[in-house]
Amino acid sequence: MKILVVDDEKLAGSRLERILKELGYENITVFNNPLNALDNINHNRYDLVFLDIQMPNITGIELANKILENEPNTFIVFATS
Amino acid sequence: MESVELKISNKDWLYISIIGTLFGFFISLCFYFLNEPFYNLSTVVFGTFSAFIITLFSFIFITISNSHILPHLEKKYWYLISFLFSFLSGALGFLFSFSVFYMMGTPITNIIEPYSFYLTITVGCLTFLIGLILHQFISMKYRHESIKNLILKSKLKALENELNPHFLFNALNSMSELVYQDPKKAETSILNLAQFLRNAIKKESLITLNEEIEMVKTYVDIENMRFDNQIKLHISPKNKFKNKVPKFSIQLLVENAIKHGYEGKELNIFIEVEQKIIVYNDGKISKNLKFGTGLSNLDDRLNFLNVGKLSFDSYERMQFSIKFNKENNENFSSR
Repeated sequence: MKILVVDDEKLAGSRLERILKELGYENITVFNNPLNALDNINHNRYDLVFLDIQMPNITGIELANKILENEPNTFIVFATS
Repeated sequence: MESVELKISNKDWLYISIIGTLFGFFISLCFYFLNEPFYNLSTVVFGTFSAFIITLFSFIFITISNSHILPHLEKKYWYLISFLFSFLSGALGFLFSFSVFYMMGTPITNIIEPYSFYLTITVGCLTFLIGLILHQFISMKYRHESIKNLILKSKLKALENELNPHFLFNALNSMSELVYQDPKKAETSILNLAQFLRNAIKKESLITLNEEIEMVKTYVDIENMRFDNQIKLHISPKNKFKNKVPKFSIQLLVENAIKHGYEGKELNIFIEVEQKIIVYNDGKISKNLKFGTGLSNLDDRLNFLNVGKLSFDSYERMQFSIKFNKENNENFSSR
């Protein structure tokens, strides 16, 4: 399973990555800059995406819409406070 | 807490003296017009003078009673002692005035001399009754003020307790990861958070500007754990200020600057203290920013504590100012 994590807070992103690895998932990509994530999703497909909502330049909601435009079957989880 | 029942301010006494003297003047004026033997100027002068002296005696006796006697006695004895002291104020005040006018040989004292004993008793009782009525009004006023103060204090406490739970949630989450990545840094962050919360539970609503600025530095240290040290704080001048500000007032403005101004790159936040406190940043400008819960909360606290007013400007940069009220502005000083 290919997993994408996007969170502008480095610690929050790496925390989620660590937890997922502990659960046995290995194919995990983490982005702290949502614009880099936007560029990446145009060339890659993911099965599961974890998104923070409030991020600079582009919000998690906008990013989710872009992902669903490319891959409507992607599972998206908003991980936010 | 100061007893509301026993509180009579100097201003109250001034009103009591004026009302008492006028009361004496008009009562004597009635006698002057209604009864021929009293149709003499000395009647009015004696009546007014007596009333003034009685209020003077009341001031002395009641002040002694309320300050030194009643606080040491059980409440059930208060009415008895108050009656005694009010009665004495009236009776002795009347006797004193009577003696002065009697020595001057005024016509009024010659007329009332045979009844002086009964008049002394009657005036003593009247003084108690009038005192009782005035006391009810005064204590009602103070009870009202006391309730208003209690409401204000509880409102203020409620506002202070609205510490942003998101901040706590985010900080603790970040720390849980830092424990794996850098335990030493995690320890420092936990201690910073403990220091921050220590100040949050302090009872004082107002703290010195200097203490508040130290709190802001701790807050930014905690936030920099999340924002990868991209939040830079610039404070000028470096003086230590004696002025008091509401707890977490500048902290809230800095929190707001990070929340709305951070764009994923270095964010410089400036705190300038002159005749007012200015907080601005070089981050994103929100043109249509509305006062949300936090900023309205701060504005309310500045208002409740009579410190000043919060204003906002987004013309060239995101800038918040706390403009002090006149009396605070005059006291604005550094050491």
